[in-house]
Order: sequence, then C-alpha cells, then structure tokens
Amino acid sequence: MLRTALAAALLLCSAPLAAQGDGAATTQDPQAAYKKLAKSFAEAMSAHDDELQAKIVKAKKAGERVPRSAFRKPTKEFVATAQELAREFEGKDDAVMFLGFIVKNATGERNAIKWAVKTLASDHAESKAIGDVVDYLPGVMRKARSARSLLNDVADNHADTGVRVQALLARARMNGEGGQNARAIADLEKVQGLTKDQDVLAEVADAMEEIKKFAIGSVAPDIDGVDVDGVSFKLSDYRGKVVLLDFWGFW
Amino acid sequence: MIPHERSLVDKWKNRPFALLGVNSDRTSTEKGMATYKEKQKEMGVTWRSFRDEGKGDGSVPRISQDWRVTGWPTLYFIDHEGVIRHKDIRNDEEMERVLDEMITAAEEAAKK
Repeated sequence: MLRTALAAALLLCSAPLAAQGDGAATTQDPQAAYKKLAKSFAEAMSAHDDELQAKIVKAKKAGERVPRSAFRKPTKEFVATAQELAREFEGKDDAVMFLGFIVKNATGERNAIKWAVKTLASDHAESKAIGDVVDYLPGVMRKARSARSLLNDVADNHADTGVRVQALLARARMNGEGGQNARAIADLEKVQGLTKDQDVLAEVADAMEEIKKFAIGSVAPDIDGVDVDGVSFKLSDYRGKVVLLDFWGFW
Repeated sequence: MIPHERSLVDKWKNRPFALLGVNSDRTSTEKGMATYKEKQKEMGVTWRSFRDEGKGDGSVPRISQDWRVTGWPTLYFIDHEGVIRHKDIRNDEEMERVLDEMITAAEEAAKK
C-alpha cells in the first residue's frame, strides 16, 4: 500500500521533468537523478550478490572453483552514468555527489576514479559539499594518489570547521586502522579543539580509547577462544611468559 | 616465516616463551579444517593457535576484527605481564633480539 502511494508520488514528481523530453541534455533534478542512480545500483549489487551465492553453491556441489570473474561487481555502467551526471553539473556543488559515488563505488574503473578525485580536487576542494565525500578518499589512495593530498588539504586548510572536522576524522580513522597511532591521535586532538558537538566529541573519545587499547605500553585485551582441536584457552593463561602473538593463515 | 618461527619455539622451549597464533584459515567447514590439519603437519606448525574461523569470502573474522587486524601476518610482542611491547617486527634477527630481551626480563621477574 505504502509502496504504491510512494510510486504514484514519484511518478507525479517526475512527470514534468519527463515532459521536457528524454534527451540527455535536459537539465534534470540532481537529487532525483542521484536517488535513481543509487537505487538501481543497490538493486544491481544485491542481484549480483544473489547470483554469486548461487554460483558458489553450484560450484561447491560440482567440486569446482568459482572463477574470479564471478566476484567482479558489475559497476561499470553505473560509474559511466555517474560520470555523465557529474559532467552535466560541472563546477556546481551538485556534481560532488556523483563524483563521490564514483570514488565510493567504482571497482575496476581506475581511470574514472582518478578523474573523479582530480575533479574533486580542482573544482570542489573549497566547497562545503566536499565534506560528504572525504570518508571515501582513504579507500582509493592506492588507485588515485591525489586522494591523499586532497584529504590532507581539506583536513588542514578547509575554511569551514565542520568540513575540516569530517576530514580530520576520516584521516584519523585511516591512520588508526593503518597502525599510525600518533598521527591518528594528533588529528583527534585537533577535532577536540575545533568542535563542541557532543556526538562528535563522544566519537573522538571512543576512537582514542580504541587506539590506546592496542597501543604499545597497554595491557593486551584478553582473547578467549578455542584452538584448532576445539580446546578452550585464553591469552591470559600465558601470563608469566613472553607471548609472540601471530595473526596468520596458510591460505 | 614458519621455519623461523619453528626454530624460535625449539630454541626457547625451556624458557618462558610461547608462540601463539590466531589462525584465520577457512576452518569453519569440515573440508577447510581437514585442509588446515594437513598443511599444519606438512609445514611443521607445532604451536597453538586460536581458531579465528575465516569464511574465505574476504571478511575479517572475529578475533582479528576485535584486534583491528587489517593485514596478515600481524605480530604483537606481549611481555610476561601481558603488556604490548612491540608490534610487527618482521626482520628475523631483530625479532629474535627483542624477544630474547623480553624473555630475560621475564626470567628475572620470576626470580624475585
């Protein structure tokens, strides 16, 4: 019921736009275009997941391996659409969400990622809208080196405090995950000096706690588990001994 | 990696030292476990590991996730009081030197 009402409402909204013609050159509502893109993308990804699961089950039964190509996500056409839309709104804040979409979701489309990061840096580094996409930059640094300088630029120089805070948090998260604890703590302390937002400050406190938990000089959190023979044991059983704890696998 | 680790376990078998693994192989299935045991024998892995049940789908299993492990192998050097002293020293000689120091400290603490 709700769904039908919603669909009808959507139809009504899009009717005047559609009346302008189907040509790509018509100006469309950027928010609506983004929603449409995000929705069809989500559907395609979930369909891909279902297919992949089915292939895995089938291959297992047959005692075969699933080819690597089956794992590749079909992102190409969505990235192309996002690229078109980003060009349509070139230079405007509305382009940022499409560029962000590419940075967040593109997989094999290396050139598109590079282009999106470059465009974000050249056209939008000083815009407030950049704050919404800084979280995705660490994920593409290997594919687009300029993502690092863009994140640094926004974190260190952006005129808007809120945007700077977003970038500092993104960089702290990245450094924390990469074991660069001192750098992560330095950014978190900067955030503490910049914001009074209680939610953000709580997040910062949690992140600091988290980093200190596994830092050199801290007591290691206990591990309670079972060994490969099914026997339970704890890391703390080994107090009194020096332990070399090795996260490993044969693979 | 494994041969060097085995040599450390042998070398310090009479001193307060333990090599503990957190293994993320795909041991959640019977077949995965069988493969693991086969390889364990073949490669001469004599030390104990927590079973971190990898699913084989690229996701990070429970213990590794708790410990924010993002790359393998990750090494933590924990002293006799449970304090993390070093991380990710991978050079064989350096690793041995650091551990020897820590073991000596553990032995001295035990004498007191």
